[in-house]
Amino acid sequence: MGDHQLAGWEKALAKPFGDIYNFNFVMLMVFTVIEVGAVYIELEKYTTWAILIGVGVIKAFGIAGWFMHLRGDPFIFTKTAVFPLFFVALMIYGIGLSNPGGVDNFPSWCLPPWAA
Amino acid sequence: MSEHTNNNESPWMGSVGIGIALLGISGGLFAVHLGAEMAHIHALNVGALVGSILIGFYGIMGVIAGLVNSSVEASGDDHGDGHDEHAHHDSFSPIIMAFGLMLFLYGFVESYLILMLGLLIVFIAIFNWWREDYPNDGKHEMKSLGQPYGGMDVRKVGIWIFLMSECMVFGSFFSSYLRMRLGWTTHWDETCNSIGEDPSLGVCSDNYVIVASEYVTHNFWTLLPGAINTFALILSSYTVVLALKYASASSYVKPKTKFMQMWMPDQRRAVRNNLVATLVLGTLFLVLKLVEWDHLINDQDFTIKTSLSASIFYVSTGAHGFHVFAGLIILCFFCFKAQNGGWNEDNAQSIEYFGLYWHFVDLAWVAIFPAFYLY
Repeated sequence: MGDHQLAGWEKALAKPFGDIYNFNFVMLMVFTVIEVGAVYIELEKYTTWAILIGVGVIKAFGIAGWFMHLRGDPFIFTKTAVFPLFFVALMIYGIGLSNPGGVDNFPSWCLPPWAA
Repeated sequence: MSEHTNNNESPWMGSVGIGIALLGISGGLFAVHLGAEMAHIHALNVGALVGSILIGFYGIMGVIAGLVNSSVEASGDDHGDGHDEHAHHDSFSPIIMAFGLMLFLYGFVESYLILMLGLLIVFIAIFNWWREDYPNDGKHEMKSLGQPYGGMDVRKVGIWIFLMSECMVFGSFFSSYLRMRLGWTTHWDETCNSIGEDPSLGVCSDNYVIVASEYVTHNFWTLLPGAINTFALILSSYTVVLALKYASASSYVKPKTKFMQMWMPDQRRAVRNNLVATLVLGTLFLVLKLVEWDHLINDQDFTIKTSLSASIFYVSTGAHGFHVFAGLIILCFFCFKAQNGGWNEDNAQSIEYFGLYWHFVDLAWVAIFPAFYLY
């Protein structure tokens, strides 16, 4: 680790911080401040949502890409990491978004005895 | 083992000493807990109790690590040729542990006796696995033979497959939460007097659902534990990365700043201190999490039985907390191994694989924190 090939833009980002991990750490800290601040200062609902989702995606990229070094590892590990996301998306669609009874309206035969 | 990592003359005695010191700190924290309980200071009471239990656990691990290592030095794997040729990965411990887990899970539906027996077998298997691995220099990394992972470290592939299954676990929590949340009327939808005392706010509608985030974001002090935890996890991810960086380096390069030179004066202490920092930050995370739960349960009467909203909150954050706890157990072993100069460029990949797990836990928190705490 640490000796992976970095792209030009990654080298440019890393240069002022010594290495890409230092940059990533600072970047994650800054975005976490933005995340907490967005809720604390009570912005408009959809603005807050956009900030939370945007910050979440950037932080996830930083952690998975550099700390878990998917950016430098063979591409098969990125494919491995992305593979379950398809099923997670399917689950979120199938349970979360398209099936109103999928969580809290089970038939009695599908519930444990104490909840039926 | 590389020379530079083994500069402690009696490392096992160091582990025992640290273990005993941790037990002392644990005792001190327990006294604080008793004092806080008598003074009815809830947050301190819970925080000191959780800290006392975790640090006491680390202390016991330290004493065991030292004692186990002392006997390993006496017998050892070294056949007089100066290096450990026979790293033993042919352990029965995993299958014993799997058997224990089977009994443990079966015990849930059958009887507590079977459950406890299973748990006991699991712990015996873990300790035996640990004992076997403790002196192992880890040089014999197995490579995957089949496609598409041909030529890659088997353990690395294994941990990624494991993380894939973990994605599904947390994905199921999120999809359930999303399903329910979309049908609820919450503080995002209307302004009313649900937990505050502002008379200018109206009365909430009948189908109003209180979610954990309403309590958590109520004021600065209720938001603080979750915010600190977020920073603690990110910082702990960084310290794991630093531990790996120094463990896998073929030669020690002094850091540039004075503070970092004090923090990492040599390779062994660079690895150890960063792993210990990760352990401390993970412990802080759990302590603050339970302080927060205590506030929700005792001060706000928001228990797992209160509503579906509370149930999904405790199950999701509890599952995440359990992952942190499991990581701390592994870290505990890593720290004492580092104290004994056990990490070097030949076996540092174990820290990398642990790091993958730990970063995943951080990644899960990146989704859990805004979804359950802020939104």
